[in-house]
Amino acid sequence: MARQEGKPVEWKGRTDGLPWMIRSLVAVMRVLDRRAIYLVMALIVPFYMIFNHKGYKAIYRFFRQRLGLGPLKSFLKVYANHFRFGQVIVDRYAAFAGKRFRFAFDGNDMFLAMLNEPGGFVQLSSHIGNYEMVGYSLTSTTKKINGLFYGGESEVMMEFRRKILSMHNIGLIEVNGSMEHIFQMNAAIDRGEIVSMTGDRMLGSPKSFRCQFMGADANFPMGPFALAVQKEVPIVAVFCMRGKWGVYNVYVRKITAAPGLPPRASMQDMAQKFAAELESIVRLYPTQWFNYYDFWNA
Amino acid sequence: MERSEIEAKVRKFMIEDLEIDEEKITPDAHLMKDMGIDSLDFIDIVVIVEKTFGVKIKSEEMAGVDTFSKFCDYLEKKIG
Repeated sequence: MARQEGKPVEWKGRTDGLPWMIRSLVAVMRVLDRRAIYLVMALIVPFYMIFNHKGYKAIYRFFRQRLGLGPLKSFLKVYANHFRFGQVIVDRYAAFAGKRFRFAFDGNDMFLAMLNEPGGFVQLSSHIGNYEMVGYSLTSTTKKINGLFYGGESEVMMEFRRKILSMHNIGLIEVNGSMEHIFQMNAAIDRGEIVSMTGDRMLGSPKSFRCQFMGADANFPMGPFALAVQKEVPIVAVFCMRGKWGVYNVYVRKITAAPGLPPRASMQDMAQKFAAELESIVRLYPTQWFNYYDFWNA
Repeated sequence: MERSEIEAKVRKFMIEDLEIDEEKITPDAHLMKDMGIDSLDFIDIVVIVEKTFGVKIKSEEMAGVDTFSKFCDYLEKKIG
């Protein structure tokens, strides 16, 4: 692993769709069973695969190169991946519309124990499964969760998010090109709160670590690991994966650095441990890998 | 704390913790444009300053603090 600087892909974090489309979709979700939308989606997915060719190629390569599947199996898995991605988006809008979901937890006792400790921590999710559902499932009444979000997101999406997140003791910290979010994250940890962000894409800084992931090196952002090491707090990795019958399986894993390492080495150590946890979940749910670009060469 | 001591400590953590080349650290060097400091480095700066000097950097006080020299001025004033 090494510290990398350059021009890796930085997440712009903007949801497609005009405000009226987003509002209409939420309104439809209030009255329609989401399974009906899944059915329509199954027919639309092949067209999406054709027109979103860049994303199709990235996921096809993921199945071929990272998981070693044959051409036909990879093609079918790409279909399954796109369908799953659609389901996850539909579920997100269903959550905005007030629909309830069932969750099964793995590691929740550890999370609850950490909530009762005085210090704060960094909560890391990633672009697999339905990471936004993490905010609706792992809630805390004792510690406020501060979610980092990209300031370029559409106002209507933010309006829905704020509404639902405020019900779960979650506030938002905007990343908008200034340094303000750094001070807000620092203050939140000082107050013993949780700072939540994604650990697989650059947000705010292009600096990264090269980590071994799925058989090759890939860039992971330095930010979350720098925050945890400098503030001397642990990281909790949370993955929210869509399971059978619409149940979301939530995996919670604590990540700490090996003792006695200097700061940069501690950050690298935590980044590699996060990559290893991410890999173990991706291998369990390969069709829920939603990074639609060449992750390993970004 | 003497101004020279503040400067030496800032220079030291910028070289050791932020991995900035020593020759880039001059009094008029722009923190972002010349020294390459970005938001990630600011996480380090905020925490290291707190640990080293016992003062909290506040975002509203940082307006106009854009060079190495101005940053040391700011700390000198803060430490008082």
